[in-house]
Amino acid sequence: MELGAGLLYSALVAYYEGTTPRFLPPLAFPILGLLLFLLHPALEGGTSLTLTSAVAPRVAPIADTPIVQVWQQKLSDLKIAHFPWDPPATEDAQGNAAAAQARAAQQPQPQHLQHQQQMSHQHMQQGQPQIKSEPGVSHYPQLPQNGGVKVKTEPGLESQNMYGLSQQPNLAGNPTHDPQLAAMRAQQNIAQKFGTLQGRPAPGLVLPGMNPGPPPQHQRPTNGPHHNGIPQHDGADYFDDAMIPVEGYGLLTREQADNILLRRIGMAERQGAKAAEELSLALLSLKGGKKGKGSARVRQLDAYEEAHNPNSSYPYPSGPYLGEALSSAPQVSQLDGDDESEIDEDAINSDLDDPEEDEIDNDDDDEVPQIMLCMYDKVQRTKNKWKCVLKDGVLTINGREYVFHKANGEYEW
Amino acid sequence: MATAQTPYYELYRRSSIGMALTDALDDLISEGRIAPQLAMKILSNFDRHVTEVLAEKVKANLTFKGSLDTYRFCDEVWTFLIKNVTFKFQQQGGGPPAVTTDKIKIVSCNSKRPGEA
Repeated sequence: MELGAGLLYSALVAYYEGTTPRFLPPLAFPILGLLLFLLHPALEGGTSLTLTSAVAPRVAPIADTPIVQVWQQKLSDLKIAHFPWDPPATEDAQGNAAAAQARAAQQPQPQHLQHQQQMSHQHMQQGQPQIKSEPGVSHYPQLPQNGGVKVKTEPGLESQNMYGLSQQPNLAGNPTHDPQLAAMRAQQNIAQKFGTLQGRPAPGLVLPGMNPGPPPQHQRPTNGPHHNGIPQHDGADYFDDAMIPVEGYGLLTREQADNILLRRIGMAERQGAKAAEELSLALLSLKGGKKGKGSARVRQLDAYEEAHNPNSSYPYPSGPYLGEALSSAPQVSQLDGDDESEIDEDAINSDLDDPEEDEIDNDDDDEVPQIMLCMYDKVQRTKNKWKCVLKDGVLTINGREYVFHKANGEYEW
Repeated sequence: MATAQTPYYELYRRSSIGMALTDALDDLISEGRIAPQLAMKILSNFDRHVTEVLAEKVKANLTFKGSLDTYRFCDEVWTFLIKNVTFKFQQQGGGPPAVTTDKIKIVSCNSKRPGEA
């Protein structure tokens, strides 16, 4: 196998040297050969080096394998050299982008997304006992609808519990614990109070947290338009400035849409909290207990609302009942944020903290860093004179890549 | 031939060709088109073949001079930050002209593996 691969490699080098592309530094030839050399045995699957082909059942011609395609594209994007697979110089960028887009278009929609959409459809249409809270359908802990059927929330969607704490204890430990009764009451209450207000069509699954807004953004299919034609996998898959249709508002930017959604969620939650509170009070009075007044209780500001209120002191507690205490109490200084004026008393402030020192670790986030990766045979120092013998290295410098067998370096400190 | 007992340095994954490969594999993994284990095997293949090709095929020599800004020797790895460097290439028939840069970082592993020789 080694022999065959070596022959292939030699042939490649000979080929490239015969047809020298303009921008290719001479020392870069082995890199090119290396690429194909590496992948040939593994992906063509013929010879004995079958680490990868053993795992990948399908044998594809080398140029068609996804790894090679993507790798080639990534290499081209680095613009370190002009590669044989690149289109002629001027069309370089366009060609790559087009190819990438074509590939992106072919990609099937991820399975779980389809599944999620189906799920939410079923959920909306049938309202089956096994209710799962789908993203955006409800951001409120749902009340059981059908005779105490256990309602599960999707993992990761339970963040509302952080600020929903004030609601939960109301439900536990009082008569609303009876799910059927509670659900019935809640439905009535909400239908009375808010059903007409929001013009919601009607019966079926009416929950306090039901968000009348548009479908949530994260259900958007991810195979839409891409930046640079490279599929994005780590976040929202659309331009930040893309316009999003929001019911009742027309087209909005993402930020505006987010604000509106957050406000709506906050509103829905407040309504839910209020409904639950009133419900518990009503039940208490029904049982012949003392008469309670909902207005007697001070409603705490909802977290969403606070975060969006520019005048609020979020994330610190606020409100009429705390305001007086705070104004008389000494101001608590911020310890964890970007308070520039703050001087960190715990800092050692030694010379070792010199920011220049960090240069060795940060490559200025350049697309192509200036770096030499190699092995050393010998590193010698006499006073401030350093000599080193390095070998088998790859040197990336000024946007070019060189390989060397041996390098002698002399430098003074 | 390589065996599991003599792993190769993963150093060269940081080169542009290695980064390109890593990025490509990342993409394929997150698209669910290959298994992460396959990517690890490909990368270890890469480590091995880069090392072998550099050792067997590359003949170019170079010298460089500059002023050493920072040096570090940790876990058998030398790291140098050199400023105002000039690289000269020595090839049969004359190599490319000398290249100068204001700053370069060198990461260098021991050519003798610990336990070896």
